[in-house]
Amino acid sequence: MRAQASYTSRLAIFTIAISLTGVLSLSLAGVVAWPVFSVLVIVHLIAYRRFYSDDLLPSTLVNTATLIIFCLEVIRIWIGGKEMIIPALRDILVVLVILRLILRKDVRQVYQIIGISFASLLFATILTISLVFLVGLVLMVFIIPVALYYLDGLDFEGDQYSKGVSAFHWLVVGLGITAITCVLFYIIPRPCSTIMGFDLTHDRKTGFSEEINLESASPVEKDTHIVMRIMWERGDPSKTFYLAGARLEDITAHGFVKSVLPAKCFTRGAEAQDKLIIYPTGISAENVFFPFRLVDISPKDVMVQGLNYYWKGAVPPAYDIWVSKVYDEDVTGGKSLPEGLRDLGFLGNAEAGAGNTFVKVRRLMAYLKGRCAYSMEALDIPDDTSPIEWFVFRGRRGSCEHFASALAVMLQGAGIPSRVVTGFYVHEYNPSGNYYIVRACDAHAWVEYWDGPPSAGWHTADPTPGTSNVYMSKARIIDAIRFRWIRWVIHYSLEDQIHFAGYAGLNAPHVMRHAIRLLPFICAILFGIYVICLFFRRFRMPVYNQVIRAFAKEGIILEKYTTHDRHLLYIKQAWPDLAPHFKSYLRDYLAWRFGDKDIDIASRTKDFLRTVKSE
Amino acid sequence: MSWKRSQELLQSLFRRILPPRGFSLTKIGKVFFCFLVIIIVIAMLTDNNLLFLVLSVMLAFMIVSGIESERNIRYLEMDRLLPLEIFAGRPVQICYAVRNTRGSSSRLVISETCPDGQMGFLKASYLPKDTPEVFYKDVSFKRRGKVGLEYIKVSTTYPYGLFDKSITFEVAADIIVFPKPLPLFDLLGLGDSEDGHGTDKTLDTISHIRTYIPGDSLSSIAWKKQHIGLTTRIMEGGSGRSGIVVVLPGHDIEAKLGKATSIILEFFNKGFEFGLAINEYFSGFDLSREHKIEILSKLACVESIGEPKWRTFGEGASIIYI
Repeated sequence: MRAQASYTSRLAIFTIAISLTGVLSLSLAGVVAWPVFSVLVIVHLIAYRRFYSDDLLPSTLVNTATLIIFCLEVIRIWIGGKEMIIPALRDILVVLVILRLILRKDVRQVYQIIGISFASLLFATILTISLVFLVGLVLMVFIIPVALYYLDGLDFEGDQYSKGVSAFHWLVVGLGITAITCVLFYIIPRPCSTIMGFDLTHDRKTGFSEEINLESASPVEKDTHIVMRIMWERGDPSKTFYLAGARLEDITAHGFVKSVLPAKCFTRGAEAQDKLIIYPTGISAENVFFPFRLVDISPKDVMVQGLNYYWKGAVPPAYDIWVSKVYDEDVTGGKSLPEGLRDLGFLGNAEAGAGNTFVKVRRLMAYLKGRCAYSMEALDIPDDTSPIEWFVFRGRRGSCEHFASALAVMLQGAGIPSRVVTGFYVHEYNPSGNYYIVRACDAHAWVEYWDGPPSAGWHTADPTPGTSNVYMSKARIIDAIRFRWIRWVIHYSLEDQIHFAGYAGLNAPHVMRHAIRLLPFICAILFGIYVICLFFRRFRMPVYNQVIRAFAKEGIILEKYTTHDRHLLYIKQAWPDLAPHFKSYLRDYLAWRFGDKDIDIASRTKDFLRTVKSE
Repeated sequence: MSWKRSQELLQSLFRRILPPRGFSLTKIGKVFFCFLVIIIVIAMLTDNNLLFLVLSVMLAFMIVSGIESERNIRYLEMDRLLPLEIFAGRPVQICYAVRNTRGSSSRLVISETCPDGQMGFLKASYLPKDTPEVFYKDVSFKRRGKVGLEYIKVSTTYPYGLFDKSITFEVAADIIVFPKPLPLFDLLGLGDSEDGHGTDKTLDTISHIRTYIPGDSLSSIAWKKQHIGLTTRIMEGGSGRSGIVVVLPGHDIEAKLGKATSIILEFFNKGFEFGLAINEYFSGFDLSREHKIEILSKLACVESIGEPKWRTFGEGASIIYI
């Protein structure tokens, strides 16, 4: 009877825990506010206290209320439109959770509570991509098996086995489910494309403006949202580098714009030196971002328009690029300056002075840095004035776009082909994950100029002062985990599966080498698990077995499959001094074992084992 | 190694890895399965990797459930003990001994079916490791004759109650269900008579009726429905220490066989020699259990009753015509 009471009490605990986990999942997904969650926790605690009580309210009243709320939510959707679907579903789920807790809980109701909690988890799943979502899922993985186990046992009255199921067993079950989940997640085939394509998650994406706007300040200065992560997989990694998004080579009085040319297919270039993998996790732009000179790209679903590259379809969650640090030798620059920029061109020609291209560029950069100040404040540029000339001659303050545009114009004036490039300045490296972090505030504009022999080709020049004064995050380990979550869970795709399949097939010896290197580590883990098992087994060993074991240590082997009387008889012969103690212990043990007496057998056994040792 | 041998080895390995098991979904399992299908469809349509993650969790849960339930029933050993005598319409106890040789088992349901239908089921809550547990089941067979018991099914919903997994033990047994014995007061057709005079025309050799004396042949006892005292019919020519039951053709075969069964049982219980003559069969006289079972088995398997071939049975035997 006592066992049965304990059994149902444990069932109540786990049912409430599951229900609470469902609500927690909703809160973690940002669907239910935390104050509401706190209230729901209190409701759950009250429900636990009255778990097996009769209905708190008449069931007909509750069912009627449910129906009315359901109808109201339908009306709400009807009036509010599609936007109301998610709040309405959330409210229905919360109401169902509360009402299930109010009603008397028999087996059916408990199953319903588990079902509603699981539905809450699913609802949360489609509304979030956050890593903290895992908390709800993992809790479910560990709690649901226990609750279902207890529910199943209700059919077998007086289920004694439940007393023997340890926390260790459930830990192993939970870890087993987790391990199998990991394997299945990566091998379940993914659909080749998104069919429905609706995205309800709050996955924030930052836009990218490839063309510069010199008449207003950019708001991205303080936006530390991560837009990209880059792994330098092969080659010689640079400490900092410029990630080009768009090259603007046409000059107007209002600034540089990209060349409007017919699109053509991408063709692979010459030999590459470095390979990078780019993960555009937080940016919504069709541009292909790459540093230096693009040689090859995978996937190849890319079109070329002038000097810029764009994705034909949806932007992939990750793409490989092969780049060369040696720039093209062909010159496409050398444009004539428009009327409004001629003065600045003359100034550039004058300030560049004599010497080679490199010296001229350095001189002009120094001139600009000395003359103008960096500022992100809004500029009051008159309509009839070129913003570039206004920046150099009158305002003398501006953003990277102003500096880059001014330098490019001055270089053109000095007869050096040049263009403005927009993209990101990459400088933040995360050693925890061996990748570069690109944030929205790293958006930048710089200049590429053409230099003749002996170092013929396009070179980078950045005239903006204080570029090194940039944001650096300290939570690198957390970001490394988040990156892996986004990359290997949220954005895991069919391409990855194909890649892995190919890797396993083509690089089998390589995999084997890794496996052999990991072998000692795996053995150590297995050994650790074995030791833990032994440790727990010792705790779980039945008390009489502990006695038999203690005698065995003293050289007295008691037969396992015989009666206690025979054991006593044997001890009387083999160890007469201990026999009275053993007899007394046996009396207590048998009274506990068969007499259902309230004896603290664990401590009694401990005392006896101490006696065995001391004797 | 020959090809056939390798094939056998492969088959045995396959059976070891995937032993034959019955599988069905419980009510909750069906709900779980519906959830699973819905998630598969939504995950495939939306390409939402978190739904694939939840799907993986559910599949992993199924796999772990399968492993645990397999561990629960894999090393079970089952045996069935049948009573020697089974009569139609009378409950008998069938004993099932079950043991798990390599671990403990929980929540087992032992069931068996016979041509009459399911013989009910037993629930075993817990089975300790390597300890045989014995369970008894009261079973009643409706009809006489041969009944083939083929297998015992042990099923379990352990551990989570989503799936019902079963293992079948092929413990074949051909049992013979003996005819249902009729109450003895109906035997001589005298139950309703106050003075004990019978109406059965086959027993016209009765000379008189007297009070029962211990040691009287039981076949000549008339049990009266409304009287506590027993009366004994003394039949002509009989010594009262042995009897032969002769089954004559008639309409109600089952009643005749039931009567014959009751008389045989009474002869045996009192330690008298007895025999049976039916159709072309004559058992001879004996008082052993084997003889009784042989006769009852013969009665159990009778399909029709014709004129008995044997009419004379030697001196001293009471002849009871049915």
